[in-house]
Amino acid sequence: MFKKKSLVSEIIRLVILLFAVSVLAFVLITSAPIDPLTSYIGTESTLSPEARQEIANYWGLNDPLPQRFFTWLGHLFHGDLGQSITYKRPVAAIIGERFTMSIILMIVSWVLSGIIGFILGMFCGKHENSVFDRIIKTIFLGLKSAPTYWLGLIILTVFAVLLGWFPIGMAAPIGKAATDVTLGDRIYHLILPAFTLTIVSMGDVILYTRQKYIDIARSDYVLYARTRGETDGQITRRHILRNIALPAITLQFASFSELFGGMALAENVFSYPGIGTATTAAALNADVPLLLGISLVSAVFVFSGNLIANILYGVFDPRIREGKAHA
Amino acid sequence: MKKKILPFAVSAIMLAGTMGAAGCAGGSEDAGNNTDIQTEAQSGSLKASGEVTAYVGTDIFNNSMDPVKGFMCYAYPFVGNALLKMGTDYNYTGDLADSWEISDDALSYRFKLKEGVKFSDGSDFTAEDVVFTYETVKANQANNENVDLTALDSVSAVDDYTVEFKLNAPYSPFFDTVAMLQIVPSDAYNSETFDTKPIGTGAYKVAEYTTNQQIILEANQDCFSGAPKVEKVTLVYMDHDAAIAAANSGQLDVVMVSPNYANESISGMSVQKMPTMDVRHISLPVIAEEETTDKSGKARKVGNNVTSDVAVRKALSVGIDRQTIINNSLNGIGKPAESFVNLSWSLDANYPDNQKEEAKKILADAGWTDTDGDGYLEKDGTKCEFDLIAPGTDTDRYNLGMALVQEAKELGIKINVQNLSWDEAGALTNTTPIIWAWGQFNPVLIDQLTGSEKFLSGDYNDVVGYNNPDVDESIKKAIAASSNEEAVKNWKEAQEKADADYPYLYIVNIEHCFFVNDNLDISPSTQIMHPHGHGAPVLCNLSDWSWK
Repeated sequence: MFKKKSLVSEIIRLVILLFAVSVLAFVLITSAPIDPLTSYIGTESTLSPEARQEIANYWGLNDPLPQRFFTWLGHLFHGDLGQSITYKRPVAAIIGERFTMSIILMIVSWVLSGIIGFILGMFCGKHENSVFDRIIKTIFLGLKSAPTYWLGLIILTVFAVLLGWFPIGMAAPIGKAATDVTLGDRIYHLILPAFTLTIVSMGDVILYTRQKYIDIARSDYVLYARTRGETDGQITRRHILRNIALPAITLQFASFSELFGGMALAENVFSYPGIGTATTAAALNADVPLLLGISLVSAVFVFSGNLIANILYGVFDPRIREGKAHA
Repeated sequence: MKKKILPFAVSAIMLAGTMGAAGCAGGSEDAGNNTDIQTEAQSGSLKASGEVTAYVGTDIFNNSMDPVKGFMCYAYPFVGNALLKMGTDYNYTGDLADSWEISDDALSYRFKLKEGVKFSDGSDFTAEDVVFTYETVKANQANNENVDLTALDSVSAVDDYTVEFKLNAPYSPFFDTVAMLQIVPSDAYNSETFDTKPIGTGAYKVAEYTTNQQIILEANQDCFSGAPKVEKVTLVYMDHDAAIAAANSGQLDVVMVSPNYANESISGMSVQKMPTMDVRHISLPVIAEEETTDKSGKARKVGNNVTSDVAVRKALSVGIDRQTIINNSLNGIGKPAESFVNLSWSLDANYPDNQKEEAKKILADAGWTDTDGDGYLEKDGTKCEFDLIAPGTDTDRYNLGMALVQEAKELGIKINVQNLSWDEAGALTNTTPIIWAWGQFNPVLIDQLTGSEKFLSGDYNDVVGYNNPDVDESIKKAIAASSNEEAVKNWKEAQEKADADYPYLYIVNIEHCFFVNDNLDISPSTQIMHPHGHGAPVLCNLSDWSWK
């Protein structure tokens, strides 16, 4: 289904995208009004001018911008993402550590919000204007405008502080060595942040799916199917599901990029170690290697999301699949 | 869609920043409401004796733990030890060094090392390790923004337990530098593993390091200074508000809090205020406005037409009521300060302030009068008014500035407080007063604040444009001194002379606040004066902590 030719063209697109993202990220971070040297040694420091000079030379802060970029690019081709100025550790190691934590949280909340959101949306669409529909609609319209940080804090206060059902934060129990941490501990600590992220990102899917369901249920072909004597179940399976799946998939895969933003906030509230805090630190300290590394990884991540969505379109809608094959 | 990532990340960051403030309010309310539940939670999870869980800010997590890269350099090491350490009497004593001597030409420093000290991996500590540590830092200065070894020429082992440092030129602050660098084992050193699991001679070793989560420290039973009483210490990484929530549910034994939280109550814990040598002062440019070029040839505006009048600077210093400012901005926590305090080289000036009449007279004598009746003074058509920058994200500094506005108003001086990022403030350092925070042991700071050569050599050096040959002379003598006493004497002279011109308006010597478990003794009597350090300094005497 997925031809060699299109695979090559996707790879070329990815490379161009990565190049564009890194140029853009580089230009943005270097033109930000942040002096990397100052943010490295601090403003209230008595370091001698000689030592400052040595630091600037070592990190290449005095080199012309294009040269800095191409030095970085050259190292990248050797598989070296460079050293983070902020953490003084290899960028690859930092991203590796953080991303494994983030990815679990993201996948869990992404899958849950997709499935639950889709089901709820269908249900609401089917029972349009029922009490349940109205409640769900109101709640999720409200949640869409609520900042993740605030919502996280409320959830934390209610479930962890007031009720004491869940831990305050972190990814493992305080004081427990990593080798003793059980899968149960991990899941227990994942619940609140995953729950927060899930309900934050669920709103879109519910509301779109609901609307699409209503549109299709009123369409001529559904009316025709009904006159043919198809049951509700048959109609849903044969006509409605396929048609409302497409927008839901588009939305859900496109939300990969938004998931990143929500992550950063949820991580802060729940003291969950992930890529978000590293991104914050990199941006605020003008840590070029780290920020570029994170941008690249997130670009690949978002790109894969869109690519999977493209492939799934073909699975769900033969028209798109054929169109692609002929192109 | 793809291009959205970066702007989104940036806006997310900004959100996180602004939300932080909103979060504070929510957190403090919970503290009051849930006392009953907390008590239950606490008795329900009695800690294994000998375990402490602490939140001391996030700095430890945001840096490599490798001493070679500058970790924990300000006298609160727990994994390693330096040759010298800061004592409770503000003077250095030997830590890994037993004794030392400085040559008469002040170019050679010889340290006799303690014998029988072992690293936590069992290897012996000898002069070779000292040489290795210093040479590694010197070769990788770019990776260490705290320990500045540019003054060092060479270091050599005279014998197994004697090391000799040779300097390029006399530089007495080298002594302070020696107290900042913890020694790493030459055989076991690994630049990568030491980021998270350093090996040292200290009372604790890192048992477990989880990025942005927790660092579990385990007692080093074979430590040369004796095994610590608390066997396991867990340092946690959290948001400030999350830490307070965690303390409320009984999960933390020590929590650093900002002064504005000090009146909250957390069951089973009480507030302890730790004295510091951390001061807040305001730079008042001493020269009139002019255009000039800095050392790199860039055109630069310097000076301020109001603060350049010594009468204005002096009137502020004697006229404001520092205690009122502290009460109004820092919840009454902190001590009035008129100079640097609690250091071997500090003046600890303690003159009476709040002399409103005296201050008004100084201003009147200098020709400042309120001609248009708006309550603020004027002189030759210039209003007695200036901007004040509270830089960065530190709300305490902003509050301090706002409280000063009221006091200055009573003297007829108008101050407009602005909150700017450090990067915006950097461009205005020479023209606009800024609230600074200083708390370091190294007196070279005096040179940076008032040495005339430093003017225009960088954004943050001698920002006020102070130029006094007498002061320069004292600084030069202090740096060239061949003994600590001689250096201290000259540093004090330099400050006395400079302070007579009031280039900086000292306001407060802050105190660090911690909520501490009522059953835990953090041994206040062996805590050193805390340096500037967002919570971490409380760990300075970690090996003396004990459960009651």
